[in-house]
Amino acid sequence: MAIVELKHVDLLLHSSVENEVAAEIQRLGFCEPISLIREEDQSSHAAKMRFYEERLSDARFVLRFLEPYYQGKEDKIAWLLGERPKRRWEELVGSESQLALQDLSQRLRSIERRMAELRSELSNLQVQKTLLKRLSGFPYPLAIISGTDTLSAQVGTIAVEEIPSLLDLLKSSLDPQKCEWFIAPPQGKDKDTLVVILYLKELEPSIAEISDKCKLSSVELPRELKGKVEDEIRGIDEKEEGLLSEREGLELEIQNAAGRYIPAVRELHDYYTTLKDRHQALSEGRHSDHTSFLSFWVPLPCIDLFKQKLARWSNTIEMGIYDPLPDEEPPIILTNPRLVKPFEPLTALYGLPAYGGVDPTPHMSPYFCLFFGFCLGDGVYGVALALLSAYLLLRYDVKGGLKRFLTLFLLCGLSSVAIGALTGSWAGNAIDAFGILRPLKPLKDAVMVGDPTSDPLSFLAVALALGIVQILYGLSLAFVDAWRKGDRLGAVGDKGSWIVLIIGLLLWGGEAMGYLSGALGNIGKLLAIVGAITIVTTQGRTRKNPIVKTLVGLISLYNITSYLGDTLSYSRLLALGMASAVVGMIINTLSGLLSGIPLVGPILGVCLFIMGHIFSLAVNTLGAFVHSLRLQYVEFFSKFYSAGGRPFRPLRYDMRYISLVDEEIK
Amino acid sequence: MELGMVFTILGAALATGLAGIGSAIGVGIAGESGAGVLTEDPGKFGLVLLLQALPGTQGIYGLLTAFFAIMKVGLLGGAPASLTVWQGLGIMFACVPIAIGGYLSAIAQGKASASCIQMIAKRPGEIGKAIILPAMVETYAVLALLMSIILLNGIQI
Repeated sequence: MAIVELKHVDLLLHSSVENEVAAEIQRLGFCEPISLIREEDQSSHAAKMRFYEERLSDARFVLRFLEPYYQGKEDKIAWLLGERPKRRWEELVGSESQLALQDLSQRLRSIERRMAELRSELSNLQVQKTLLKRLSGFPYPLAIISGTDTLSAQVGTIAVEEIPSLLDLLKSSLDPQKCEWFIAPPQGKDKDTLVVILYLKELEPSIAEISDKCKLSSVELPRELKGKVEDEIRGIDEKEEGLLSEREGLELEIQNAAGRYIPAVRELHDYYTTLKDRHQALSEGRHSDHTSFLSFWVPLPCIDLFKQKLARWSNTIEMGIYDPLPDEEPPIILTNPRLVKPFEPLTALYGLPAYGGVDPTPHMSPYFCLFFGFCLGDGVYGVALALLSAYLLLRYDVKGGLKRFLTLFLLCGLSSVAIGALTGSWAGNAIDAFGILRPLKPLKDAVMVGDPTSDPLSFLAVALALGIVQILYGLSLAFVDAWRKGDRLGAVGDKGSWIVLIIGLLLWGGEAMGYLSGALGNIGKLLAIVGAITIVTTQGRTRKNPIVKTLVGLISLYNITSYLGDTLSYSRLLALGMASAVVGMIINTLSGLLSGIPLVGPILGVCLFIMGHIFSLAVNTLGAFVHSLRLQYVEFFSKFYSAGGRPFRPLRYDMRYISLVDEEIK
Repeated sequence: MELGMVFTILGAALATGLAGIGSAIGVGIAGESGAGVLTEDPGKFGLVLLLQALPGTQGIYGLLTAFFAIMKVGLLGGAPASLTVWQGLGIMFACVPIAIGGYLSAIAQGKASASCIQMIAKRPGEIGKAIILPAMVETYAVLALLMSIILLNGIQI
C-alpha cells in the first residue's frame, strides 16, 4: 500500500546490440527511459524516429479516412471494452512487406482532394441550374447578354411589387423598336424575380435611370453560359451526371479499400508506433561511434527479472544499479491490495503523490465506498450497478483502467446494497407502495435500522459523525507523517493540538447537550483547554516578536470555523441519500397512479417504473460519485496530502488495435 | 390549506429554488471557464471537474433545508400538522438564510472556481491552493445552513 521503490539503472552497451536490447526492454514493459539528451547531440535514432513517425502519420490518415466506411465483423461492445484481435510480432513484420502504405496513402489523399473538388463543382452547377431555371422562357441565346457592338444587356433582380411600375416606365419612356425586355414570371412565394432588358447602346442612360427608380439590383451571369436556356440546362444536367457517377465510382473504391486494407493498416499502425517508441527511447540516451549509454527507471521488484532477461548480452553490456539521487524526481507507481486497487484512478485524477510521500489510496478507499453507498443508498440500484459491472467484467476481456473502473462500481454497488438494506430502501419505497410486494415487508423490516425520510436528524448526526471521523483520521495521518519526517514540534503543534481540541470540544458539547456524563464532560473541557493552549503557543513559532507570536497563535484559533465548515459539508451525504429515496418514492407513486387506468394501465405503469428507476439510478449514481469524490479531495486530502508526482511511463508495446501474443521478439 | 402551511411551502420552495439557482449559475460559470481550459489540454478534465463541482454545494444545502422544513410540518409523511400563520411565517423566515445566502455565495464561489480553473491551466500542481480559494467562500454558505437548521429546530409546532 505504497509507492513502489524505483532503482536508477545505467546501461553502457555496444552499439551492435542496442536494437535487440531495446526490443527486449520494450517487451518487458516496466522500464521508463531517463532523458539524457543535450541539445548538441545528433543521433541516428532521431532520424529513424522521424521515419517511423511519417509512416505512422500515413497510417493514421488512412485509418481516419477509411474507418467511416468500414464494417467490421467484430462485436462492437467487445471492441469498446478493449478486446482486440491477437497477433504475433512476425505477422506484423510480414504485414509491412505486403502493404505499400505510402502508395495507398498517396492514392487516398488524391481521392480526398478529388472528392472535395467534386463537391464544390457540383454545388456550383446547382447554383447555375437554379439561376437558369429562373430564366426559362428567355427567347435568345444567353451569349447575347454579354453584348454585341450595338446591343447591351442589363440583368438584375427586382422586387415583385415593383414589376408593374417597371413595366410602366419601360413602356412609356422607351422606344419599343430599340429595346426588348424579359421578366421571369415569379414562382409561388418568390419575393423577387429576374429581369433581362436588351437595348441599343444609345439608350444606356435611360436604362440606368429606370433601373435606379425600380431598385433593380444587377446580377452577373457566368461567362460560360452561351446557348439557349434549355440547352444550357441540359448541358449542366449532363455534366452533373458525369460528376455524380465519378463520385460514385470513387466511393466504391473507398469502400473496397476499407474492406481490404483496414485490418492490415491497423496492424501497421501499432507496428510503427512500437518502433517509433523504441527509437525515441534510444534517442534519449547518449551515443558515441561504437557505444550507447542509456538510463532507465526500473521498479525494485522487477530488477531481478531485468537482470535475468538481459543476461544474454552480459559480455556487451555494463550495468549500474543504484538508488535515486537526492535531486532526481522518479516517476510514481502505486501498489495496493486487490480491494484497494480499483480506487487508484481516483488518486491519479487528483494527482499522484511525490516520490517518498504517502499514498492516500488505501486511506481514502473505505471512506469513498461508504459515502457512495450512503449517497446512492438503495438496495435495488446497488444490485443493478453491481450486476452490470460484474457482467461486463466476466463476459468481456476487459483490461487496464476500464477494468479498475468497473471493479470500483462493483464494490460501490455492494456498499449501496448494504446501506439500502439498513435504511429499508429498495427502489425507493417500492415494497411499501405496491401491494404485490407486501409479502417482502417483514424481510425488509428485519434488516432495517431506520428510515432517513422519517428520522432525518439521526441520519444527519451519523453523516456528521462520519465526517468528523474522517477529518480526525486525516489529521492523524498528517501527524504521523510529520512525526516520521522528524518535525516533532510541527506534528504536535499543527496537527496533534487540533485533534485534541476537536475531541475535547465534542466531549464537552456532548455533556452540555445531555448525551454524556459529567466526568466525560470534564475530560473534554481539559482536552479542549490543552489543545487551545498548544495551538496558541505553537502557531506563532516562526515569528521573533513575542507579542506577534501570541497574536498569531490566537488568530489561528479562528481555523475552528474551517473545521466546522468541513464537518457540515458532510451533511450532503444525508441530502443525497434522501434525494434518491424521494425520487424513488415519486416514481413509485406515479407508476401506481398510471396503473390505475383500465386495460393499458398496468403495462404503462410497469414501463414508467422501469424507465423512471433507470433514470433515477443514472442521476443518483453520478451525484453519488461526484460528491463522494469531492469530499475525499476537498475535506480529506487537504488535511494530509499534497500531490506532485508524475505517472510512470515505461517503454512498452503500446497497442491500440491489436493484442500482441508474447513470444520472443526481435 | 391554511395560510401557515402556505408560508411553510413558500419557505421550502425559496430554500431549494434560490439556492439551486445560485448553484446552477455558479457551476455554469465555472464550467464555461473549464471548457476553455480543456480545449488546450483535455487531460486536465479531472481537476476541472472537481473545481467545477465546488459551487454545487449550496443547492444541496437548500434541498436539505427544504426537506427539514417540510418534514417538520409533516407534509412529506402525508399528515400535515395544523399551523398558525405565525408558525408558518417563522418557518419561512428560517429558510431565508440558506435561500439568499446560498444564492449569492454560490455565484461568488462559481466566479472564484472559474478563476482557479484558469490557474491550474498553467500550474496543475497547485490544485490544493486552487481548491482552498473557492472553499473559503463556502464557509458562509455553511454558516447560513447552520443558522437555517438551528432556527427550524427551534420553532415549536
